[in-house]
Amino acid sequence: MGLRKVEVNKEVFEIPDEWSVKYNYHYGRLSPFFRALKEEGKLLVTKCPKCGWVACPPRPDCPKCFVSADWMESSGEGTIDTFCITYFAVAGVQKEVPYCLAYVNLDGTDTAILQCVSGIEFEKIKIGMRVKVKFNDKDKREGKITDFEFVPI
Amino acid sequence: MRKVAVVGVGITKFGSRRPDATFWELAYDAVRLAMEDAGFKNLSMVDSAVIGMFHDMLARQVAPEDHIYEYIGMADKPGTRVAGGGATGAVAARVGFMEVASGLSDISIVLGTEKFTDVLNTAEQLKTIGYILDNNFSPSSLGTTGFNSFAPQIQRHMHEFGTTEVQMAKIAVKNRKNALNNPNAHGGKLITVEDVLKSKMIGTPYKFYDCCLYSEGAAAIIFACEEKAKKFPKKPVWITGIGSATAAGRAGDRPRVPGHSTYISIVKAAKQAYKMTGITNPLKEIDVAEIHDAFTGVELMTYEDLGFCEKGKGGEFIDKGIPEMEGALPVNPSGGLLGFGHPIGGTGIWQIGMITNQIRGEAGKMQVKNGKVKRGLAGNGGGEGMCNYVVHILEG
Repeated sequence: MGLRKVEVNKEVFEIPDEWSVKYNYHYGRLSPFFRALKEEGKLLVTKCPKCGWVACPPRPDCPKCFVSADWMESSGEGTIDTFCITYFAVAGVQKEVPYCLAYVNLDGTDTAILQCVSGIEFEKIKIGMRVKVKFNDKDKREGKITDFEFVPI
Repeated sequence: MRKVAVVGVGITKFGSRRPDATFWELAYDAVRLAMEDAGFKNLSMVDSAVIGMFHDMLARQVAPEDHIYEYIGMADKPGTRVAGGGATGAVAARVGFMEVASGLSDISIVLGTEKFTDVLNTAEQLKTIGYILDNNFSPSSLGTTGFNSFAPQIQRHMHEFGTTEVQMAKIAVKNRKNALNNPNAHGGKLITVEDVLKSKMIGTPYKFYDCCLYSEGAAAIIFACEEKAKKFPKKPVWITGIGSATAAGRAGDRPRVPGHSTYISIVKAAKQAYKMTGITNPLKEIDVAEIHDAFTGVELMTYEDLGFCEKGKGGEFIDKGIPEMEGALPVNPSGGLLGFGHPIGGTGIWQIGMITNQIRGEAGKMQVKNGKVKRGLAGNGGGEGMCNYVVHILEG
């Protein structure tokens, strides 16, 4: 009752839409790394006082020993483990294509950090190449990983 | 632990865009196909549902599973949603296996569905996928996404072992050609090694044809315990081995030995699965494999990390034609992610479905070894540089 069968247009119906979220994001125990990056232009790493594991990206909590790590300052120099030169832009990226992302093993650390390498023709970037940190100017630093990059030594 | 069999398989058509169906409608379509295969009219006989869906933002819905259970007739029963990056489908299958092996369920349905291209364009899609990487140290604002979190490992592999872009290109040619035999495939195409080498550079060394496409679609499998499995219309295909391993979410955090040129999660997952099944020589004891090939170099490295050949010999393995349709160990006869497609939550599930069809002798033009497949392997993984991998071994 009150209903009648109708013919409908079954063609797909589309609308534009968007999701967005604003945050007050906190870095928890990683705070010393991002604070030093933004305010002092320093690259900090962690060292487990028990097993000696040195990590950058820093690991404030050792997954083997379950103790808190000590903070150390890195010289900012390291070696390219491996890399990828990207030719297809990702939305929101703050660089022009092509750009180089590399895993850099900072001297004295047991891990590698993913970061952009610039200041060199991309064909010349090689595994094993020595690089050093280059911080953005202080007034442009935001407390984010994009506050620095690596350049050849 | 109880024995677990696959008793139903349902896989939809994959496409770059399926605007004709929402994620829950795709799920419904896959469920209907799996039901028909298992001889069911609905899911009233099924005790639990496990849903693999990777990405809420791609679906434009948080907790999307809440909108699937009842839609497929599974209200009032246990439901578990699994999200595990590219490995979502296989992680979900492992949970479905646990449902039945543990005795909590006699029959469980595992389904994976994913939307992708409702996200506006490729650049936005790459960004959205990039959110899987560590958002403090490898955020998409740094320019990270899927292809450039998988390219560095093969770059290192090329450096250490002399692996070539031609060897990778052969995998792109193989899998797209295989997909021409698959009526549901998204990316079947006859291309040459030269076409691959000349295709647009995406992220070194990966060019357009080295990369899989984003697909929309769904897949479902039905698991049953031994007692029930024997009552289904089709001969049960048993899951005789499972292996699963995670690795550090950031590839650079992993141990420096073996380093970037090995997917350590695959090595560990394979070891577990082979031990459970009793496999000591995978090349000789496995008849067919469907493995994660989001990028050609991933398939090449996986040959090694699954123990199909020695470390560093993945290039030689494809050069010798071993993983071709007529080879000793055909890999990705369905076309893989490169040729069949990668509806992310569905991928690990369609792989198990395709191996089931191979063992049943129902793989149609994709069938290998004249229908005499006794044992197959499905391998599905994901995350930055394969931080999660699951191996399933199936037997007739």
